[in-house]
Amino acid sequence: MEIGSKSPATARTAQAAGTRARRTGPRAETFLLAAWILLGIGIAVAPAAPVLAGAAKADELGAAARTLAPNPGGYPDKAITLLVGANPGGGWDQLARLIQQVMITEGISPVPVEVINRGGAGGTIGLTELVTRHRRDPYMLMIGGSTLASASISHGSRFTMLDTVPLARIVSEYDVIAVPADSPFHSMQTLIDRLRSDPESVVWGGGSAASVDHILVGLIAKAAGVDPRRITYVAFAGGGEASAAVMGGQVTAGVSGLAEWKSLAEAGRMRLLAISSAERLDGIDVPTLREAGLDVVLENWRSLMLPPGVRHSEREWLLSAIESLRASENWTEVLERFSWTDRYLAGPEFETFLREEMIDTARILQDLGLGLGGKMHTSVGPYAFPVVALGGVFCFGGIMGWQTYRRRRLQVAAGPDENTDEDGSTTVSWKRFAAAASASLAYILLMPVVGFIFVTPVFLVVQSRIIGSRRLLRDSCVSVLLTAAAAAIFTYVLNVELP
Amino acid sequence: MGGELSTLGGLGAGFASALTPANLLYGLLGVVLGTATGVLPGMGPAIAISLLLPLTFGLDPIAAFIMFGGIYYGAMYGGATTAILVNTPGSSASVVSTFDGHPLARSGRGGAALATAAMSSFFGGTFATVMLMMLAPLLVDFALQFGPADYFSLMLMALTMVAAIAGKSAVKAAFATFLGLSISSIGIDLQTGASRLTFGIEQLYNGIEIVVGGIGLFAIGEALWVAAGGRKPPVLNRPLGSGLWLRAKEFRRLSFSWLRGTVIGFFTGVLPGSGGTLATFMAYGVEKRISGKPDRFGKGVLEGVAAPESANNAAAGGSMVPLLALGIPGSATTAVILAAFQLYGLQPGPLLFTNNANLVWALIASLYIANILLVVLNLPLVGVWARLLRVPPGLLYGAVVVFSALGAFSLKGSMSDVIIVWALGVLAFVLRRFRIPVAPVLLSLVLGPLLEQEFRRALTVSGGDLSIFVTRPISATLLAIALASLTGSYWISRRSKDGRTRRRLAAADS
Repeated sequence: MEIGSKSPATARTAQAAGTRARRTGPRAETFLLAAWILLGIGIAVAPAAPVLAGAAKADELGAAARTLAPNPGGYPDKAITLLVGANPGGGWDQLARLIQQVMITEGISPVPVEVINRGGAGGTIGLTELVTRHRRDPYMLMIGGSTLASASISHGSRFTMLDTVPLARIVSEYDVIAVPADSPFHSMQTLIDRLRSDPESVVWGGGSAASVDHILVGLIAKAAGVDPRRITYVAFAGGGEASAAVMGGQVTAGVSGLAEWKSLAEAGRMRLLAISSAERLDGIDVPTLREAGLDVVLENWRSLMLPPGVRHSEREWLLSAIESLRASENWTEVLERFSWTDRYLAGPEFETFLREEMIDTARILQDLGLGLGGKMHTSVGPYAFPVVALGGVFCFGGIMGWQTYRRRRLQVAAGPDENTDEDGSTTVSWKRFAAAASASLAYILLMPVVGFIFVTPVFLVVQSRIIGSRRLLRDSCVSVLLTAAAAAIFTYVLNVELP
Repeated sequence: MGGELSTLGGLGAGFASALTPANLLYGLLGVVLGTATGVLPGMGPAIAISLLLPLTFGLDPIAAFIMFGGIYYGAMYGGATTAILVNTPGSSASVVSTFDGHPLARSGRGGAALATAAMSSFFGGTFATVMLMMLAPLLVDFALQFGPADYFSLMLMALTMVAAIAGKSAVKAAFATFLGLSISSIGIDLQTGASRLTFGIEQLYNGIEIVVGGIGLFAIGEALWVAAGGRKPPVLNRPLGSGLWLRAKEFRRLSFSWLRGTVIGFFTGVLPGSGGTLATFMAYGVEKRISGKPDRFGKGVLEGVAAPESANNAAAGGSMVPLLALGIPGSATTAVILAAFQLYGLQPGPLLFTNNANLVWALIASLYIANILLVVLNLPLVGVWARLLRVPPGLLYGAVVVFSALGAFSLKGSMSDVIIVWALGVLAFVLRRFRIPVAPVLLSLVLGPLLEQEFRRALTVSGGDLSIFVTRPISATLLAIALASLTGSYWISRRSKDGRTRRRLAAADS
């Protein structure tokens, strides 16, 4: 530190600042580390509390007696995962989380039950994963149902539910047809009359194209003797948006699950005209479609499926677990709360049902114009928007190119650009960018092959060197620590299985 | 929600049942976990709640709600922290906070920016809860008036906010906007089931999610930008103390930003489907228009942090209106919350107040409590977070890449999202290199699907008649505002650019 009074003042301050930075550096890092450790402790303790509380509750109920023993083959000996082919919040997700909750509180399963979400394309992305990546894995159960059956057909998916080992149909939910509270239609009959006389004037609202809701509207039209291609159907993303459209009178009639609209109807915000079940349901004062003279019955069934190649004994164990689930009071209460109907069906009967269901669905999708080469009735086709958007990209891209050319000409004449960079666009080096981009791409591609734990520290050190660090030892140590911390957080707290 | 007396009485009872030491502890735990999760790029409130949901099994409903509230607000605040300090937003709703938050951090006022974010979140969250309590029944009927045509016009109006975040060149902003719209149209079409721009890749069927867009364009984009030497990594060049607290004058100025941000955020949140990201862009755009010195925005003004941060939390409160009153989830986050409520036997909807009044009041009370806990916990921690900048930049930005990859991975557990994130990061780098603004790409990624679907829904309803957009009063009003806003900004940009070009042409000719 004592450099001598001969040094210029500026050098001395710089030196001092450097020393200070060096001195505070490690201290700050220690501080950060301490914060992380504290957080780690908090995180480690956090899950324990509710889990302990849950265990205590389960004991109180004397649920331990109900716990199924593993089968003679030792299955299951680790957590069972319920794979949901949709984002959190929908019907499949609900079913999975309720199964998980009841299994835990009733203490049915001797192993933990976990839920993972693989949203996308009506469940077909999850289906592909189940069939390809989890072959022969008896710990992976997928939740599926009518929507998955129709999505796999309408999207031309590589796999259908027939490529899985169907375990059992669990519950069904029925669709209802509703109109706004101030609608002139007071019965299904009057609505059908209008549909017959002027099909286009009845605007139907419901879930996405090829959903159960859409299929029901198609079946109604067909039964009423109207060409299903002539219906006016507005697709909404999720039941919530469709509810708002019906309540606000934006559509003539809406179609959605009973549970979603039961309470809205009870509150007088909409009127239920018909239900898609074969018979009237207990406690629900809504006539069936058959009563309105339409021979249409449609259930939105939900089932469990296993990946191909699972052993018979494992399947049997899971079926007995479902038996215990259905026998529990908790489950009865759940069915009531969600207006679900117990529609348990397993074994060859379920497989036959599944096969027939696929054929029926394919037929009605064809009628609706959703099948291959079909044309659905819409005002604006699906390709108008992408064409406009891409047109804009090319048009403005062209103008940009021309402007750059013009500016070059001006620059040559008038000297350097007057508005210099604030963000340093001119100082970036393509070479370093290429290095960083390929390092991160290599990292991403190697992760599933080599494993997160091994590839991450290497990547961090490499990235550090690209940015300009030359302290290899420090970087390596911190990298290893950081990787461990990240792995711990994701595995234990967030329950994400790392590659 | 009854008269004022029953409101206060109910709230009192709610607080009484929510304010037990154990519940406060769960709330605190929620805030800590939420903040820690939200800090990680790609971990927004929706995914934080759904991943942490199993932790609440076995708790009684009130304790669970307080914990949810804590996780929700904590995750949103956590997202802002990295947005400000490292320019890598934790979720798409905190992208706007980078515009001014990061320049502030670079100029050594990162502490002040973080404190502003915490206080804005508190202000927005608290006042939105008050409005939720007082106005919910009124607002529900207002929101139901919105038909597809009105939504389309609203989205178009929101799109004119591009002008506020565009930078200097209108052409480049338009290019970025259309690029975002193109990206947003990838995937299966909701109305017909046709697949568009997917090239047969199944992983693209669901389109590019906004979260993925936010991580890719901003977090990975920034990491690559720093790696390529585009910017010296930010440093703490001043001791924290001087920049940490707000001056009294700033405080007074900011309170108006908070008010505007809260109102905009709340009303945007009430409309199902629009969400927090849109609210932050709108609040920022309005703040810039209203302020006397729009050219200082983007260079580090506290208002540029205060408005979006309060709007974000207010939107969260706003989205509770359709959720509680109608059972309609307006966003990914509220969809997860709805599912969580139902697990606890609470069925949101018009009958909620009659059936579960005490639970609802406890829930509202726990929103207040979570809000207060957020400030109590995070204001003292501002200094700790700011020390993130002391981590050597190589490792810091390396960690951004690692956590972005993990965040994207945990969405669906597939590597395809991670690869999309990487590709978007490269795209963002190229755009920035050619000085094309990246924020409009994200804004139109958010707005694109709504813009298109509502346009087509409106035309399906009207039977192909375009006049539906001008004959409906709400739609016509919104379109008029959009037009006025667009011509206004065109005029301003034209005036300043004309002068510059004329000067240069004159120089070239002479």
